Amino acid sequence: MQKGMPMHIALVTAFPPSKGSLNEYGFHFARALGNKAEVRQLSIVADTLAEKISEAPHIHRVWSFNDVQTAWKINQKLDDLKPDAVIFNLQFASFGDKRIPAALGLLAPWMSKSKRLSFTLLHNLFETVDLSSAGYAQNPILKTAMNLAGNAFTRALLKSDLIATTMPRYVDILRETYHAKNAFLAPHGSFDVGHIAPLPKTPTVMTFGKFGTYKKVEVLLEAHAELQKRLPDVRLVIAGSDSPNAKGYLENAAQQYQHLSNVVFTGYVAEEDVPRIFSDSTVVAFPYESTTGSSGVLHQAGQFGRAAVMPEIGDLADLIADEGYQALSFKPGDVASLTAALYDLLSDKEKALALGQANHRAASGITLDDVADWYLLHISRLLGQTWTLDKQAKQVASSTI
Amino acid sequence: MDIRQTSQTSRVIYHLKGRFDAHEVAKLKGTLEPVKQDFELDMQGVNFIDSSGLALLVNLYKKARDANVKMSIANLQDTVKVIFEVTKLDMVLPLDKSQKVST
Repeated sequence: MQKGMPMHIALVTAFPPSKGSLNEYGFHFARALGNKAEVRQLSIVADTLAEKISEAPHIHRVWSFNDVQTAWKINQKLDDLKPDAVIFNLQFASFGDKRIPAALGLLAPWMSKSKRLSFTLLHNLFETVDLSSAGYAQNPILKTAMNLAGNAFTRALLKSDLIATTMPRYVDILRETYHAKNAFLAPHGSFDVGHIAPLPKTPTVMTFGKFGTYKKVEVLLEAHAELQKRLPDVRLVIAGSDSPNAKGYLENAAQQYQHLSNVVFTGYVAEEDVPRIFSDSTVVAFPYESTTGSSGVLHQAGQFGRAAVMPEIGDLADLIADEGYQALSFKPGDVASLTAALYDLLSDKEKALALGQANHRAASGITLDDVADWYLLHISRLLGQTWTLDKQAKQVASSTI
Repeated sequence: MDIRQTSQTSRVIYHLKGRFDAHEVAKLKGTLEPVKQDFELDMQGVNFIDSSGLALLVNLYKKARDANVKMSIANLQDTVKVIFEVTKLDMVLPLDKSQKVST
């Protein structure tokens, strides 16, 4: 073992103000990595923006959504940057909503591996996504073809030196189906965990995300109508935008339910507005029909100490069991069941607060800052180095990220 | 979680018992920190650990390393060992493999 000098890490990710998938995670992960004494330099290999803006010099806008050359462009930049290790922050549609560019982009870690230590953080697996409800394959033949392609590209991603997933079940799938010895669990981690704001005076249900495929607001709007019969001042906040695979969905929903009062559609929520959106809510609702990985929104509910109402489906149930989150559950798509769970919390502030506090403890238990330590320990191990704390050698300050 | 403390020459041994999860982390952290002296975590009595518990172990390990303090983790139950293995933390954290592993 040699004594190590602080490392140069590259992070390939969608990055704000881009609205690309996982941009918020990329932002917080970059900040956590940049704060570590073991990291001498952090380079962010990010997606391009429609308009050029002034950014810190370590943010490199390199690749574009739906560009077939993404993998090549990323690797060219990595060749220039010469990091000690690269971490790819990915889900299967990170590089496009069109099949060919999305798939070709996923070759980037495999192309990188021969030149540098390459890690992939994969937020979802093809095997666990209901392709139909997620809007990727609407007929059985296409679904089969996509599953085969998904299998092939998962194998390509597994060429990374290490591949992390955020759910234990995903590690099992990679190990059992693909015989992967390099797969491991690295929990999602929560963002900045602060104090819990008091609950709002007006009972407020909030849902957050990209809607229209497996996240549907109709059931929530129907539940809102039922709740108003018992809690006339109840508010419903639908925070977020359309899924790339369901353009126009929220506008249609807003028109369909325009007769309902106290409903707010916020549109895309910028990073700086996220705390207010969560703090102004009594309960966070998850009107999901399926999932595509660990829920960033549940971690945010925990971060802000808010209660959750969740459907009884796979990944969300796993998350509750594995990471100590708590929620009231409802049957997916069932208005009466969702209404009952929401009313239970909206009518009992103490209960809502207690669940929020439990989620806050869970979120505080493992932050993204902790998760970054896991990655750095693994990278150090693979580089064959032990690290000494040398804060003076650190060049990238967190304030630059 | 119950925490019992014994001493052995120059190091402290913390015998842990029960669940090691998000709701117990603060208690354990309060007992173990600040890290000043060589210590061992005897986890023979721990039947469950979640990611919050693992995060605390990683955090303690970093603090111990930076303070030049020796830390070791011993006597993992099989159910807990599986969690270390799935996270590959068994390859980076200082597990004392010389001790008998309880079942």
